[in-house]
Amino acid sequence: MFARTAWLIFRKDVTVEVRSRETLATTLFFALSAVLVFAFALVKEGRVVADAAAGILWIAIAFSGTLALGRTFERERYTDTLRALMLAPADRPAIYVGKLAGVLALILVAEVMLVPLVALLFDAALLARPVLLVGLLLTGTLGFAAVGTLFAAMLVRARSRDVLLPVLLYPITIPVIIAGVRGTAALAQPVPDESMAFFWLMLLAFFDTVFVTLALWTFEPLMTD
Amino acid sequence: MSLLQRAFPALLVAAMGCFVVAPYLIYQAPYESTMGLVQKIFYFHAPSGMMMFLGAFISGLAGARYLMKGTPASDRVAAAAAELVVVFGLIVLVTGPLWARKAWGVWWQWDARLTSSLLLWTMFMACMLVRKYGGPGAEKLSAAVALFGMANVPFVYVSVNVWRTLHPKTSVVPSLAPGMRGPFWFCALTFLLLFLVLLSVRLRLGEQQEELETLYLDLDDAPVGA
Amino acid sequence: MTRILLAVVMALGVAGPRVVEARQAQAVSAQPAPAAPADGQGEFVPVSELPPTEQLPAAPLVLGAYAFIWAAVLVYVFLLRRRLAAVQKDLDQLKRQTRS
Repeated sequence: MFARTAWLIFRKDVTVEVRSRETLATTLFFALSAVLVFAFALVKEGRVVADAAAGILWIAIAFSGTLALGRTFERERYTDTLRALMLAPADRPAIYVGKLAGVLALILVAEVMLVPLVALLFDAALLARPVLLVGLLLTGTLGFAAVGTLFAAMLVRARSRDVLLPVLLYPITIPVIIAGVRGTAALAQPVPDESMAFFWLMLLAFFDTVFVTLALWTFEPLMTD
Repeated sequence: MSLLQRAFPALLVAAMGCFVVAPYLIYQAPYESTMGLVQKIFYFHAPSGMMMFLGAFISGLAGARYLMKGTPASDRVAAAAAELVVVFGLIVLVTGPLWARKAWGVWWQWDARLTSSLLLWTMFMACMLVRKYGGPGAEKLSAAVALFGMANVPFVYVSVNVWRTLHPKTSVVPSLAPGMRGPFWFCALTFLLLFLVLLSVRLRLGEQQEELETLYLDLDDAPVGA
Repeated sequence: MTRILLAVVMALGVAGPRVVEARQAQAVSAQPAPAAPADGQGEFVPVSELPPTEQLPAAPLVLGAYAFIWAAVLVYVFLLRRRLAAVQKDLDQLKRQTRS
């Protein structure tokens, strides 16, 4: 029942997205613009500062993720479907998991575009150890999306929701950013530092466990009036 | 929190008394060998840091309790403690660089302790912003932020620690010489008393606001012409 | 009565560290500049050749730190009292309204 509810919500989000492509298109293009801004800000004499590629990648993920979260829940608010979801006899944590899966899928699609782009533009060997990189991206994005989905869902009814989401989200996801950037940078070195990347991966996995659990636990009390 | 309210006069007198005595204790404490006079900032800086973390802990726990049980008292404690985190955090973040400028030569260093303090302060500022601008149900979101913030502290600490292993670590608090321990713990006690006094006053404000809200609602519910 | 007591203690508390630090600062600055001689060198090092951290006078930093702490606490207490007074006023007004 839990899994079925989550799957239904996820499928609904994906279907809506595939048909309108609104959030996907805007998120992708925003990610691209962000990378370009960083390119012009940080490139000096044709080369970027060392390790900056990893930093740029994760900042672009964070910014695009925030945008995606905002857009996803704005749509729910506009059509008032969130209230309908809450009224439905569905397990609240299942609703959370469904929304989380949708947001996660969206950001991962953006990353599929971002990683080769950043690697190309900044001449960084990001794809040297693809398995570890995918692991870092998955765990990092999950951590970011888990906290973001919770806060975005709660902020739907708030007035300053657009600016409050980053204000709340960024400080809490700082460990994700640190771990993601350092892990990716370790992989992008001339000789990839696999043990270091693995350490960061484990830290991210631990972070995900703790915060997904916390989010599942607090989602119901937060969404009930 | 009636225990705190009842103890308030005693706490206030004790706190004031301690604050009068503290400067003399600090004065006759021995100089630290490498940093000299500027290290004396430590006697108020470190206890402020301790109170900031205490406030964060209280706010996180009270927030969790509010999410679980929904009791207004827990919400009031969470709100009050969050404000105190911001106040004491501000003290820590201003006196720290003043000390660091002389002791290390730089205003700021990205080591684990400093970064954790800055982030904790930021999170509780966000907590208060949410409470003010978050719209309906903002207290619950604020409680969740406090809870997440508290849970985040170990992660921030570990990740910043490892992030900085390549850079030289500067110990913020040198191991205390015997002559300094007395004044330090006295100042810690002083700040604890100050914390409790401020918490008590802030809680009273919360209670009054709650009473006001209830009265407003009663007025709304009253039959027309009453 | 409490207010008078509060005011006296606060004045003492503010004046105390300042007087104490001023006396200490005088004592410290009266001594010759603490030199950081290289190993085996016991000679006099002029103040202008010391590293920047040694050149900074510590007293303003210490005074500034303590002054800031006092200011922050006092401002916060002041703000709390103002908010309490406002809520109290509203409460009294409402109570009068409901009674009438």
